[in-house]
Amino acid sequence: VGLTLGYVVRRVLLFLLIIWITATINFVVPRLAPGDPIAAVIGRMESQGAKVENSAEMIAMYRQLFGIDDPIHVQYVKYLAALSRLEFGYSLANFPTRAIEIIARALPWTLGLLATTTLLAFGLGTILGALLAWPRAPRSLRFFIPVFMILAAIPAYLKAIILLFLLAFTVPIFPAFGTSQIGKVGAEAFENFLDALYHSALPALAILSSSIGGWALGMRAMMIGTLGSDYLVLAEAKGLSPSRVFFRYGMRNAILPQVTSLAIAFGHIVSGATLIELIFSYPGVGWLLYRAITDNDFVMIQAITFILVLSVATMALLIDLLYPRLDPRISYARR
Amino acid sequence: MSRSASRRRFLTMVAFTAATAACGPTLPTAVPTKPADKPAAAPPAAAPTAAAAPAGGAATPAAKPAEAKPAAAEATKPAAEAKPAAAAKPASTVPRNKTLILGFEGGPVAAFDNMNPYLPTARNSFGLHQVMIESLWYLNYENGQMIPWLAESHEYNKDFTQVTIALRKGVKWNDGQPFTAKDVAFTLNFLKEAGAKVQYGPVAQKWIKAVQVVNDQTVRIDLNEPYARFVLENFAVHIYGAIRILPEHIWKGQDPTTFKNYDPARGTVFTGPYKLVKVSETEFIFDRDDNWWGKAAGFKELPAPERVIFVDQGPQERRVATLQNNEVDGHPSINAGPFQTANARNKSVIGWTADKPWSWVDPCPGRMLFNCAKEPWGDPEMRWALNYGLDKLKYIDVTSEGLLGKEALSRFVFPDYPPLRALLDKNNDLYQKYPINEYSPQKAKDILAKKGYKPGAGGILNGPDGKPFTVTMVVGSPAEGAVMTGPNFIAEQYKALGIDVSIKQLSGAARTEAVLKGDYDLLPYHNCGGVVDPYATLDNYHVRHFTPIGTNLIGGAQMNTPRWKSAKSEEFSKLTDQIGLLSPGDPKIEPLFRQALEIWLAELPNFPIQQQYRIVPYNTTYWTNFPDAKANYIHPPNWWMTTLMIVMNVKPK
Repeated sequence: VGLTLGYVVRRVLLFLLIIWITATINFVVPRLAPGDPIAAVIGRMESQGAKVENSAEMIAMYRQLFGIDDPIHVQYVKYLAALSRLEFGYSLANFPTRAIEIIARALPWTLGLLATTTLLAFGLGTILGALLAWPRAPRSLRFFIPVFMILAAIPAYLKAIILLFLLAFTVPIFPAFGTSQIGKVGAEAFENFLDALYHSALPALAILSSSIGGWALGMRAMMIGTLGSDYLVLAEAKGLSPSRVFFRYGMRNAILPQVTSLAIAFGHIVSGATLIELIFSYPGVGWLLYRAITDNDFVMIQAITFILVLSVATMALLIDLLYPRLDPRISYARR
Repeated sequence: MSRSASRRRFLTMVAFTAATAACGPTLPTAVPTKPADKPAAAPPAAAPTAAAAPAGGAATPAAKPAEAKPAAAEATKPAAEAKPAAAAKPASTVPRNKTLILGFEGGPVAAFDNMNPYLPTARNSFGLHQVMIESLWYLNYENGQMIPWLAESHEYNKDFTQVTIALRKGVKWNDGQPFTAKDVAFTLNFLKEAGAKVQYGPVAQKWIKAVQVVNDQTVRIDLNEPYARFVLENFAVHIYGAIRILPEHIWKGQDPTTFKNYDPARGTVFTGPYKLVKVSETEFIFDRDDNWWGKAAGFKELPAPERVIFVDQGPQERRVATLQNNEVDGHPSINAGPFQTANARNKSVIGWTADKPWSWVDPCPGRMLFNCAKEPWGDPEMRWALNYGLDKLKYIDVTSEGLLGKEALSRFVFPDYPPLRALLDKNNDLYQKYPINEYSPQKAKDILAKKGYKPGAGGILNGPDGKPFTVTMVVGSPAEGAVMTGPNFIAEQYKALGIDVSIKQLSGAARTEAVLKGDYDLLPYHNCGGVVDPYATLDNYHVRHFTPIGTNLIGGAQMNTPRWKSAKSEEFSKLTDQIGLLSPGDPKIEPLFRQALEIWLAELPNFPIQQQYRIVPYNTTYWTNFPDAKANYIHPPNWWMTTLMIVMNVKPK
């Protein structure tokens, strides 16, 4: 309904074009950055005190092995061919481990943390935002407006440091870093899950406290726009229960832009929460991306960025194709 | 289906998908499904070796040259088949007072399953080379002696082109296989064949001509050229690491660049007293191997900690918290301020000295490098001008927040260790002629004026070419922990002379590339060289390591980093070569060193800024007898291979 085959084909072609353009940018930009990734590996060894004799020979050997010295167009063609097979190659800073292998280990941590916090922030923020605009809601809820505004204004990493200081160091209720209890070996899966949950409490709280305000304020604005609608007045005039009017007629019509934002937010999840992950030594994709940029490990940068682009573009494509199903006013069919 | 029902279904689906994503991900499998195999039975106890020295005990630093005895060629017996025993499940938790917890450097480890110690990407210091891998010897900085461990002794021939190493009897790999000369020979040939693909490969290629297994306990190495420090610099943990012997039965036929040496079912095989039981990005757990060869061979008792854990040390504030809360027993380093906080809150937190500065002198002192291949830094007088223009005492005071004073000054790029200090003391008169630690802005200005630098706009000098005198100083990035107090102080001091210093903060790859390719004017950088003998430091300036700007330094970031090449540097290099042909401690070194030092001081390819003081904090709440200035049985780094000496010596409180 509201969707034509022609539109779908055009939209999918656009999707592929976006992927190609971003993949190309992804190829070019890391190579413009200063710093030889192999030299970085040698530098890291030397900074730990290791003596590396004949490092020039070592750098030359590994550059050749990774094809870094190939002409740029050869590298580009190889890169596109590998991407089409979803192969990213070896991480330059973690050779002989493949980039995808490292990302696959990090991704569950990031998804676990960010999907939960995104969903919680979306759910709580949306309901609270709707209530803030609802005339029948308790006046005390208005107290949350400045709180949300302040929380949304403070960067998540700053809140992370404050939380760390308060709840991990001053009153050590939560662990300061990592994903499991130090020194524990061979616990059951469920026990590990609870442990991971416990360790993700502070990073989750930092993210949640930052994002919930945005969702709430967005929903509040949307809900205010909906309040004056005729159908809402009619629903009330019909004598429908306030909760039914609130959820079915108010929230439901105001929530569409929120759902779009949620879809895009889910697309962004795979890139991780870099600073939060760094502060808590949380081994997610954000931390990986930071390390990769520092080491100029462009294989890893390309892999993470490509997955991010793919994820966001796919979510955008899906939401675009599903819009006519969500909102009957939207139609791609020619009238 | 109605439209509204369809939208409801979609929204439900979105929520369900999100919930699944939130709850569904499988956590990375970090714990090996099976622990490392243990041998079927305790290995037969070999006769205790007479030469077994206590940890920290003295042994000859380097044998005097002597004709290697032609040991009777014994047919080496094939190694016995290892009999894997029933796997013992590691304890879920070990009481805290039986667990030693140490921090590791460098942040979380992405490739935590890489147990190949030779790959350039190997991290090693997450416990692998501290408690699993044992060295042939351990150099003890405190007394300058080499502690024999897997090896018992060595002997050079007269011209240092051959060395014969006698291995300890009764050594076994942790899978029960005997450790023999064949493993040593295999390792050296493996490195030689791998060459530039692996750490120590270029060393093996350059120096080793042939390796001969004389018998199970004796290996003879023929060298391509005389190398009197072959054992000291490559097998004795000279700084940080050493050549790590590999088990031939595991490594034979493996590709050195792709073999990770990680097999949870079989276990990672080395000879050390601990076995790997868990790995993750932030934590590595090792359990004591009660069948360790050292106990069975009567060499040493088992170390006291039943479990050793290495955790990511994290930023300074986390180090304070973990020390304060007794969550760790030591970290690789901590700054003075955070240390004082931790120490004030928990008196069990100690440093190397009981009082200020709590620090140990790191083997790599700080220096200011000039890019000697770039004008005007090819002129020694210009280098001296900048040396005179920096108030090093003030620099030390400012950067150490008042903790350090004159004791941190350097006369040369040596660490302030007794044998090297004694050598410099004998040449004190040279410092009358070359007052390297004199702060004299006037002398600096006089030199600059003599060289044609004239006052220009804004207090900045104009060079002989009429352009403002602007120089680039490359430093680390604050994002990676670099502190800007020092670089800012230097820039201010030079600005007072009329030099506009542009500070270029570079991180990781970019900084290393700038160092290796010579893309800088000034570079504050450490110097890792000799620790008991001057040769390695002098060799750092050898002209054979010279490469032009734009080409990677051929010998790594320590080898002729300033790109010093002149008639004088040629002369200096010849003297260095002569010292290289003498055994460490040979009295003939002294006059040669004096000549080399005088050239170096006159030329000043870089100048020393200060000794590198480093606080290596330990916590005595659960464990005592960590090394300190009094109980100095070994130097304190816990990220080096010598950490094993600490683990062997700590005692439960």
